[in-house]
Formats: sequence, structure tokens, C-alpha cells
Amino acid sequence: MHNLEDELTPVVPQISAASVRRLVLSVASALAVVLALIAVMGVNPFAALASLFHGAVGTPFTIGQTIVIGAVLTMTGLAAAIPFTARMFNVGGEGQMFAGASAALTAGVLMGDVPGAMWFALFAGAIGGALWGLVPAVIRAFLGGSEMIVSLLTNFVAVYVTDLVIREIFPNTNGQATVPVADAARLPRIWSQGGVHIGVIVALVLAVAVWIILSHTRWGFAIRATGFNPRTAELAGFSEKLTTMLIFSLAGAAAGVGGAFLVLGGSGELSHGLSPGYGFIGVMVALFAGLRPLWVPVAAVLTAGLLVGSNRLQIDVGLPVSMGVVVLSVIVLALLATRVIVLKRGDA
Amino acid sequence: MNTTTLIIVGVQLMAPLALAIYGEILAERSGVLNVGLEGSILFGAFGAAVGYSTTGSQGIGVATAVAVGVALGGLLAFLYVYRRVDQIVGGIVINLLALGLTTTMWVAWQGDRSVENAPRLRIPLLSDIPVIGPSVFNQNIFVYLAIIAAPCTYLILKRTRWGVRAVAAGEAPGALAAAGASVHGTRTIGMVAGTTLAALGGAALLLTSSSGVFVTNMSAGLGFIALALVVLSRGNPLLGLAAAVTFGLLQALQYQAQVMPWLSAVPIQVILAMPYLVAIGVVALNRTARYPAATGVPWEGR
Repeated sequence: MHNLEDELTPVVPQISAASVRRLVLSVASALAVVLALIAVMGVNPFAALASLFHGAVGTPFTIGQTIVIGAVLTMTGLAAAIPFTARMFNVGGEGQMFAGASAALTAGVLMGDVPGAMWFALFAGAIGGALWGLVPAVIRAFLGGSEMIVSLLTNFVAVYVTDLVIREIFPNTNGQATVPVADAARLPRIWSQGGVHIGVIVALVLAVAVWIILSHTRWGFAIRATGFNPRTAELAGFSEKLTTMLIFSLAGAAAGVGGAFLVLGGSGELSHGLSPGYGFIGVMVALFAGLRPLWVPVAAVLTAGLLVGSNRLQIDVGLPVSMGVVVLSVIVLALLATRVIVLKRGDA
Repeated sequence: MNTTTLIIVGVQLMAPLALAIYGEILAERSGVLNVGLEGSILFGAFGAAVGYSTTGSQGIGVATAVAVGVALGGLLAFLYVYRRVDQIVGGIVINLLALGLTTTMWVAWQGDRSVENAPRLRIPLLSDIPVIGPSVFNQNIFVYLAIIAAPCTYLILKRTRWGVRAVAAGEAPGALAAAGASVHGTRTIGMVAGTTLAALGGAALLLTSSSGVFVTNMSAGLGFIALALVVLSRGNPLLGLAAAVTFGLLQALQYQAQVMPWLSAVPIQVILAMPYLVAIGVVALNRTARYPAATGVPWEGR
């Protein structure tokens, strides 16, 4: 007989000679593909890599930026990791993040300068994201539709809702962003370099909270049991519908807080340019972390370092920022192909 | 914009979507789920743009898109069929890769030469029929291709040896393997056909776009809408064509929304979000639709 607790750990990375060999193979092949791609684009690949590295850890400012983006990616990484644990697919992190950003902005503007406004605005972000996340959950739980396709489509709707907030509800004078939130709603700086704000600590606390929920509570057990087999969870007395909605509200709330960080921790305004796809990149963060909540912040900071590093590519070798996402995707594909990252189907 | 213009534009917008839908149907029926459909369209549009801007020939643009589609299909078949990578996770990453890589390469190559739109091919006599004539028989080549491809795809699935095997590979791969056919081979062909048709859809998107140049993220969710419409069409290409035409008309309606008095009070953002909202509704209200039994599940045998 299988031990249920063991089976409930969906990703089982065992450290053995074979797994180290696979890791080396995947990193080497990812590196080779990236170098070849850069060479094809007419750029010296080694100059590009050096530039990427300097861009990531070159100055205190970039280190600060890496930490700040790492906090956002921690939240979107959790937004992907929680449903993955239950064998569900939340690909709507980007939309949930923007829904959270819009909600946080609305709260931050409307409340004015009352003490503690920041916490209310963060909470509003969580609620906004959770509501957005409930759309695919309700469709899956009650109508049997694919949560994966619906969550993908909700991203596009969120873009237009954000646009509505920017252009019609709280427009600033030039129309490219909203009016800023009240000062009391902004996240206080804890390190001046790169604008490191208190959200970094909030993200760490929430990652630990998610770990506690998943591994030490009844409902966390339900979520993991659903990943093993939805029937198991039913038999253990957990409603599949409720569990599905719980999973997606937690995930959406996490992404929503990430969106709130973007607004409240930065300029205090909401604009389309806030995210180069942090919601989608969160899926990769979750995979890097092996779906383990406590590893999500680590994976998030490493990923953020790569993204911040790619800012430097433009200046040094003339490659656009989007190269960072290319490097990330190639690494993930190599890790998947060499089976360093394995997602087991619950019933397989 | 009058009704005839609306239909002309709608039918034109149908082509990229329909081609992507057929591609996804072939892949899904054979047992592989291509969530990277969006990326496949984007890669195809990029391939067409590169082919066109280096040679100035639309034919070479389309050929480049097809080559990109075949190569991508090969890569995805390697990952999904042979390496048994999770198809949803892989698809998400492929979409990100497509967006990042096409953006980066387009900037790196400074290719911004405008594309001449695909010419209209007028079919004599038939194009003189009112309304139907100009909207169906005086269109660009992609529209004809998309219309003809529907029954062809249908017949491929129903009448060819590969088609029958593909349906078996999607529903009962064990039975197919027991009958001595290769599940991996059948699915590889389905995957390659799928990405190639999607890439062709991308070429159609580029060569009929109003901007005439490759634009970052120009597929704008078309692949995700196609995924939803494949659910609606239940793996039947003929229903897929009907769904694509309906969606083409819906998109064409957007251009007209601002001149329609009863729609002028609705914020433009709501109108722009309509196709995605309708697609969500399509998935929500099709509970009876299902994927073939083994779609998305890697075949463990040989």
C-alpha cells in the first residue's frame, strides 16, 4: 500500500547521482540553446551573458530592484503553486494580479490619508484577486468547464477592466495612468536602494502562511488530497466544489496582493506598464520551487534577478528586455525535458 | 459600415481563427493538447514577417511560416510525446517563449518593413451574387483555404488511415498499440499538423492585418479563444468553421460599435472584452463537451 502522505507530495525531487546528471544536462542544454539564439541575433553571446550578470547584481540599486520584483513573483508564484498542488491549473495569475492592483488602487484613492490605509489597500488587493480567481473556480466546480482555458481568458478581460479604471474611473491628466493613492496607503520603504518596501516582508510571511495552510491544516490536506485524486478528497469528507473555490480564492488573493505591491510599492499609480507578465512568470517560479511554498521566495528572487539583469542587455549589447523571458522559458523547457521538474498526475 | 461590409470583414477575420481551430482539433483528436496554440500562431506570424521582409514575397512569407510551424511541432512532439512533459505546463511556457523570442528577434533584426496585404482573388460569376458574393467569393486566399480546409480536415479524420489511427490514439491508445500501430508516431503527426495549421493562421493574421507589420503579441489571445472554440465544436472541423465565422462576425462588430447609437453608451473596454467574455461563456456552458479520453495524457508505452 502507498502511504497517502507520501503520495500527496506531487513533486518528488530525489537527490541522487542520476538527478544531478540530469540537472547538469538540462542547464548545459539550456545554456547552449540560449547562446545559440543570442548568436543568431548577431550579438556576442558571452558579452550578453556577462551583461546579464552585471545587470542583476551589479549595483545596490539592481539588487534592491531584484528584491522588490522577487516579492511580486513570490505572490504570483504562490498563485500558480497552490492550484498545481491540487492538479488544477491557474493560468490567470496575470489577470488576478491586475484585478488586485485595480482594487488596491481604488481602496488607496478612496480611503484618503487615514492611518493603516496601507493594510486596507493590501486587503482590497487580495479580495480583488480572489474574486477574479473565483471565476474559473465556479465554472469548473459548478459547470464542469476547463479552469485552465477560463483562467487564461480572464487575463484578457482583466486588461480591459484595468483600462477602464485607468481611462474612465481614476484617470490622471495625461490619461496613461491613474491618480496616485493617498500617502498612507503606500508601502513604507525599508531600504532606499531600488525602493525595497515592506511588501517584501509581507510576501515572506504569506509564503510561510501558505506553507502552514497547505501542510498543517484540514483544508490544506483537502487541497493536497484533491491533487492525489478528487475522489479521495470527497471520500475524506471534503466537498470538491468548496475545495476548488478555496484553492482559487487563495491563489487569486496571492496574485492580487502581488498586484497591490506593484501599485502601492511603486509610484502609487496604476498603469498598463506595471507588469511585463509577472503573472505568467509566476507559473515558472512555482515550477522552479517544485511547488513548495517555502521555496517560492527563493525561486522568485532568482527569477527576478534574471529579469532585472536583462534590463542591462539593452544598454550593453542592444538586446531588448524580453530576452530575459526567453532565457527563463528555455531553462524551464530544458528542466521539463530532462525530467528534473516532474509533475505527476494524481491518478497515474 | 453596412451589413455587407460587416460580413466581408467578419469572414476575413475568420480565417486565422479557423486555421488554428483545425490545427488544435487534429492535435487533440490524436491525444495531444496544444495549450501553446497562442504561441504557435505568434511564431507563424513572425515567420511570415521575417520571410516577407527578407524577400518581399508573400509566398515565401507563407512558406517560412509553415517551416516555423513544422519545426515547432517537432519540438513540441519531442517534449510532449517522447519526453512526456506535462502538456499544460509545457504549453504555458511555449506561449511565454513565443512572446519573448518573437519580440526580441524582431527588435534585434530591426525588421519593420510593411507587408502588402494578401490580394483578393475574385471568383467570376459567384462574386456577383449579392451579399454572399463579395463576402465569400471576393476574398484573400486564406479565406478560401480556411473554408476548403474544414471538409478536408473532417475527411482526414474520418476517411484516412492516419485519421482513424489519430482518433484511436486520442480515445484508446492501448488499443492502437495493440493493433500494431505507433501511438507516438500518430501523435507526432497530429502535433506537427496542429502547429503548422496554427502557424499558417499566424501568416494569415499578418498578411491580412491592417497595420501590415509584425506587432508584439499580435495574436492577442486568438489562440486561447480557439482553444475555447474547439471545446464548442467538439472536435468537429465543420462546427469549428461555423464557430470561427461567428467569432469573426463578433469581432467585426467591434469596429462598428462606436457608430451604433444603442451601443454608444457602453464603454469601449466592455466591447473590446466581448470576445473573451463570450469565449468564457462558451466553455462554461458546454459541460457535455469533453476531450478525447486520452488527450493530454502521455502514452507510456512504445
